[in-house]
Amino acid sequence: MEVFRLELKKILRSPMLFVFLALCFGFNLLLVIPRTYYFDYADYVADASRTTGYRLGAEFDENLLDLEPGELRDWLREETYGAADVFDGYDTAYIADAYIERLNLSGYKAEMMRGKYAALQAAVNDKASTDESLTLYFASATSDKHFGLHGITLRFLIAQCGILAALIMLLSLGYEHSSRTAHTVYATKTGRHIQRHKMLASLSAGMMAFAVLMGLTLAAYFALNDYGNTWGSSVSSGFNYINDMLAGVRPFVTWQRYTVLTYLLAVLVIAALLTVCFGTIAFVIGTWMKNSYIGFLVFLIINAGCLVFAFAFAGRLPAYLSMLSPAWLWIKQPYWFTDGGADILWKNFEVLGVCASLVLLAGLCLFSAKMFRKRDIV
Amino acid sequence: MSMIWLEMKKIWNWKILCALALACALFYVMFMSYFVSYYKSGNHPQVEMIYYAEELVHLYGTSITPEELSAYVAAERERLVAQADTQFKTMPVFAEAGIYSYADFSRLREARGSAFTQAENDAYWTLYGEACNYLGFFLETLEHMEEEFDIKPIYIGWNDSVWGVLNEREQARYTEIVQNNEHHTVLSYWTHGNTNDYAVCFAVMLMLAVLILVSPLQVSDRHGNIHHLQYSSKLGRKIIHRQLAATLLSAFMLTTVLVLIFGGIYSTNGTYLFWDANINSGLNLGHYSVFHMTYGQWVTAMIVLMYILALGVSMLAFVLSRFSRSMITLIMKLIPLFAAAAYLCTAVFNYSFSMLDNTLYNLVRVFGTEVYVCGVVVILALAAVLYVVRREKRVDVM
Repeated sequence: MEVFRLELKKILRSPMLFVFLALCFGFNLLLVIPRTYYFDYADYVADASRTTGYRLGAEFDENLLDLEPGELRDWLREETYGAADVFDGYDTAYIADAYIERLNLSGYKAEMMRGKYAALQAAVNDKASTDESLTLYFASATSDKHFGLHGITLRFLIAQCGILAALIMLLSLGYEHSSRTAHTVYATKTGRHIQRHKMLASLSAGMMAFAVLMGLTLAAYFALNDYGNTWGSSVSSGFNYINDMLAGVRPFVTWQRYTVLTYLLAVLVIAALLTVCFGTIAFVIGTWMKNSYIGFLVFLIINAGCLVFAFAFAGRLPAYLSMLSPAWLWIKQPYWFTDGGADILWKNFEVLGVCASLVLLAGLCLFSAKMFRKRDIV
Repeated sequence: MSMIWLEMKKIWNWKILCALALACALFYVMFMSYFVSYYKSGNHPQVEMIYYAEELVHLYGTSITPEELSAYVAAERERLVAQADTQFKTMPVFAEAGIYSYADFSRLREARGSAFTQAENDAYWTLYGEACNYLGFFLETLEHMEEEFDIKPIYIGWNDSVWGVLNEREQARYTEIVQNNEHHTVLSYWTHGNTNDYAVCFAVMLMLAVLILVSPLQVSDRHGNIHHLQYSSKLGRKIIHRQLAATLLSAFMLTTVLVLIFGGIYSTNGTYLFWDANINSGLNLGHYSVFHMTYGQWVTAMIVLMYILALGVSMLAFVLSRFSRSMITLIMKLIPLFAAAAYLCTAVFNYSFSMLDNTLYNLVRVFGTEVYVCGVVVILALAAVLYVVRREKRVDVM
């Protein structure tokens, strides 16, 4: 525990780490502060939701009439009055058919695709029975607002946290070389096992950076974006949709029931695990490479390689498997907890991907640490 | 000189070169290969427009009069209509929609937007599809070409709102384009756009490559405490001059190598055919360059600006490297520098020298803004480097 504490202290004593965190936060403010054309309406909807509640129906319509008359109220009334449940009679089989036809899928891939959308039908039926689509979210500003948070802000945040976790890991692993204490430290029995402490300390520091960056950025985001009483709305609100190039515009269907709040929390959990994945990738690289500069380049190359790999083997099983890699999970972040689209064959791909990556990386970490203990340090 | 050579040997480290080659290859595959692979086989009517632009250059050269274009369009249209008429007679899908001649098809097309029957819809898209070798797109492109060629100079004049946004100098420049017939040349907006997008991506990759190559020099020297040895030599503290020269020379050499490699790859799609075509071509719809320049001159100007930016960025990397104690702290400084450089590249090179499309120009409305901005970057970098070099004379060695 003492070694762990000292390793953590070494990491936290790097002033540049805090400067980098501040720069990341500054960059995120540039993403969060600008307002686009749909913000005024979204703010109005959020404010109105305090009076109307988020569940659409007769009570909502009545409460809406209590609000001050105006153009925005009329607009909201037009959108919500008599809204139909988009999941009533919604059949997901057409999505599978569109993917299979456009991508020329056959054999087991076509079967798996059909299986995935047959399973999604059960989720749709559940949503239809609970009227999940008849919730407000941000009315017609929903898709822009949802993508603004989950597709842009959080995607940048996760990238920054992943890079930070990797840098912290490489900083810790390269510390003995850069301060020329490697020969002293690694000559001892404890020193040869120090990688374990370095790893735990780096992951802890990475999680601290994750918490600070996420906390500050999301605090700024929610300070500037009023969510009113929409937190209880379902993310599968009838106003939320996915613009799918192959299957057209379709509802945002999640496997489980998620409100705006629980969906955000679930995304943060997966994001934290993904940050751990990036940190452990850096651990494997850093254990084998003395030069942290080259190590970081290798880290970037491996992740970019995963992205390119999917294009190189498009339509084949290796490409579908590569979608479970941390780099692709990051790319597909706006579709977490949904079917994931045409290039995903499995249900709950983000959980599957994170778990598979963690298991694989844990094995690689153990192997690397074991090899390090036997390695000639001169 | 030999000292500079030795410093360059440290910069051109084989491990970094391998990582650099891989990084550039991946960057190319992810962001740039599309502009080479799908230039002539991508979307419609891009394919048709490029085909006709190349045909026109082969027949008339890069300059063409409206009369020559009209003659070509008339002859080509006649040939395509004959081909279409053959298809109408042989393919049952057209008969089912009551289309027996091109005149019937034109009537149908004019009604586009109103409700088609299923048979009409099938017939319509058959002529635009692979079964008819995209004849519909070829015919439509021909018509647009003739319209666009003359629309370009009057487009601004007719549209008061656009004319209104131009200041006096811009209006004078627009008048000059019309008077000098700069628009009577052949360069499609697809070619211009494709080269532009490729250039922006290349510039970002170049900045990344320069940063990766030149940054570690000082950190690795200091990590090995080599600077103590260097300071005790006759050359002493002047060694930083050699290191700076080696950094600049390396950035210059790397830029040259990358321009040759990725310029060579891009040349395989044949856009050099338009090298002498004026950038304000009538077919380059909506583009109004602030300077009288050809496509080739535009490409050359961008390459020169890339050299300037690459040298500026390498100097800034040199300064950051001097103040970094470890490779990781260096990377933490390089990431924001790269983000800033990448943003600058998109601002400078996205339709550079264009009156309406370049972000930087639209901010300040000064002709040649892109050049001034690159100049300012170099001046700032030079000032920072001079500060570091002068400071080195006084700094405590230990």
